[in-house]
Amino acid sequence: MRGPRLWLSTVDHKQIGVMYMVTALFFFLVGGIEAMMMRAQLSLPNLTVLAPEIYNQVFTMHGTTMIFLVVMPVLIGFGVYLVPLMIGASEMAFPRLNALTFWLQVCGGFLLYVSFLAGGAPDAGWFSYAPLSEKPYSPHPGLDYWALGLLLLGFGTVLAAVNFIVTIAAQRAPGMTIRRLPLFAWMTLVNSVLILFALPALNAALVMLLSDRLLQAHFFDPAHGGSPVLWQHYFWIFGHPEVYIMVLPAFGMISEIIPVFSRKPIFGYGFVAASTVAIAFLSYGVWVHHMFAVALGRVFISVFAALSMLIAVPTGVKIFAWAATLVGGSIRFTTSMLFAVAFLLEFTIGGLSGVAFATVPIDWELTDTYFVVAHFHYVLFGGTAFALFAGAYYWFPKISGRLLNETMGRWNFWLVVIGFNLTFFVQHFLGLMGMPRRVYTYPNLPGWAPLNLISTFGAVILGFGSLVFICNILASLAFGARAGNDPWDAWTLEWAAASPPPPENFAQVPAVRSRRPLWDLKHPELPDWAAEGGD
Amino acid sequence: MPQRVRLGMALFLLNEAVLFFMLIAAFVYFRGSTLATAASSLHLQAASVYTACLLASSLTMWRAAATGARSWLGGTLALGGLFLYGQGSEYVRLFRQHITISRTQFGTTFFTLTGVHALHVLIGIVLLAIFLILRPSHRTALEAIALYWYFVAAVWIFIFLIVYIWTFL
Repeated sequence: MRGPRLWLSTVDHKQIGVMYMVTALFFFLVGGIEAMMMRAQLSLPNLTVLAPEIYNQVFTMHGTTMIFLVVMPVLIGFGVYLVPLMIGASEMAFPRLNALTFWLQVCGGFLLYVSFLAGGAPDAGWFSYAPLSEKPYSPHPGLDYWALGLLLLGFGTVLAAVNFIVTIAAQRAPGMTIRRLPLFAWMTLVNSVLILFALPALNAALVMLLSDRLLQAHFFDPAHGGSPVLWQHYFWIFGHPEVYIMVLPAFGMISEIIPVFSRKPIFGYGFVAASTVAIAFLSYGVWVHHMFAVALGRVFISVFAALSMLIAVPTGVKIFAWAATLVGGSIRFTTSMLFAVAFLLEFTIGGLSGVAFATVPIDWELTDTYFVVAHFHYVLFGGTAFALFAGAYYWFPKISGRLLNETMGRWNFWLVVIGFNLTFFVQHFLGLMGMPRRVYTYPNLPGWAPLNLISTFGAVILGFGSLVFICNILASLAFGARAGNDPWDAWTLEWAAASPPPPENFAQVPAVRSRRPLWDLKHPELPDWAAEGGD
Repeated sequence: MPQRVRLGMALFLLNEAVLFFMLIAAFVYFRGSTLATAASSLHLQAASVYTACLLASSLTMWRAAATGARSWLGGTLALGGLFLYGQGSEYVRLFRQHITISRTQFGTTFFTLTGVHALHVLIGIVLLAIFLILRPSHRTALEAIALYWYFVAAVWIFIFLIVYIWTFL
């Protein structure tokens, strides 16, 4: 299968997975440029690099792009590529639906970005609060493109979730029971259930917003009896599960990578899987913590504050399981493992500031400040993006047949870690000092200028780190060392296939009698299934 | 029908159920300010008639899926069309009373909820028409469309109970 026409018409899950990842990488560059534009504008007080109205468009598009065109597609892309291989299948359950899903994502991305040519990009932030997102306050068509684009993306994501669930339910190789499923597949399964319940809430809200904007309905417009708070409820009923949708598959990657590079099976497989289900359930009961600043009643918000704190428990269970896997292991610090360990630290920082936010008075003090920006970048970049870097270094050899260069990998890792922490750690302090987010400039108050300059300096380093990653991909595709089928001496089924896998994936799927079928294959004297008491 | 097709369709419909749940919830959220308009403008008898058409179409759909007969399919199409016609007349009646999506809060919630549902009925009709024209022997496709059709009718029962019956209780 080669040539552009075959890529355009392919229904092969590996080609579609690669197309997802490449598209996401492209939008990662676009969203990254938008981030650099913001940091340039904020590097010093009272700059006018970007006009205020352009700044609004740039931060809206940065958030929307990174969430809907980078993180979600790349996680779906990894899933589409890896899940069939991990469960010993030759394809997704619905290959043509798989292709449709990808092209819906492309169309959604196109709709979002064509808005620049159609009179201006959306400018009401990634959560488009009403009434700012309503026609009288945002008369140009940018928000219409935002809503239509997200509707397509949301619909595509739902179809991907359906495909994942059916694939995992129906296409598993003999012996691949649900209790032996690799944790990445487990997390993708739970994630798909989350998507099925969360995305339609967004789709309903978008239908209502479009009714308001295009047909002059009054769902969210207070001047005519509508309710802006209703939009907030609907958006965050989607939006908080969405946070977990963006991180659960990343947890899955970490759960694959840390054991392999520690040479130990994951500690507490059952706990890791079950805590994911707990997170999924709880994630529907915490959305109001995004709305503590709305006057909703003490008892009401106290319940949501308690539930929000509760969600730290299953998340903490995972952190402990990964840390316990490291303890006593013979750790190999490949670039992939460096990113995985850094993930543990950075994500924990984001998690802790998250628990702080669940405390209502702290939320009231810090809402809409740079503390929020610091918090969710620690979760989404320090968490998801670090796991994605780890996953990229881990699975690139399977996808391309070549190893990513480890020297460039070290540069990639250290530049990203240093740049990321410089950029966002200082934003905690800016938030505590009261600097509001989403404002195009700031006065020269004591301490604000140097901290912002450090943040911008960090962003430049982070940008270089990301470019090293892209250079590494291009260089390694051409000159990388041959990987062979199983460069990491790993245990899950994808490493039994050739690198890259042929269209049918496996000539013969190895017998699955435990959670680590390739371990059993390589160590017939000490198979897992004997210890697990399996068949 | 293969198990995975049934599961796939059921999961997709689960997502649609959440979508309708949210739209119905929005209708109920604004019920306090829209009830008076609803009670004075909706026509329960007419709505009951076209509701009966949609429910009857589920029966013909069930026979069509079981037998694959073109006559049952045609009947389903006709009853679905009657439902849309009935709903269209209802819309016209409301427009004559100057109730539109933009003029009243009731119009906003009523037309959005029933409009999204009507779009689902229309999609079902288009799917059936495509099936009749192109692939009259593809049983799996027919059974998948049938699942969708039952779902759309079931959602209407909830809409009918909440938008009509509850208003006139």
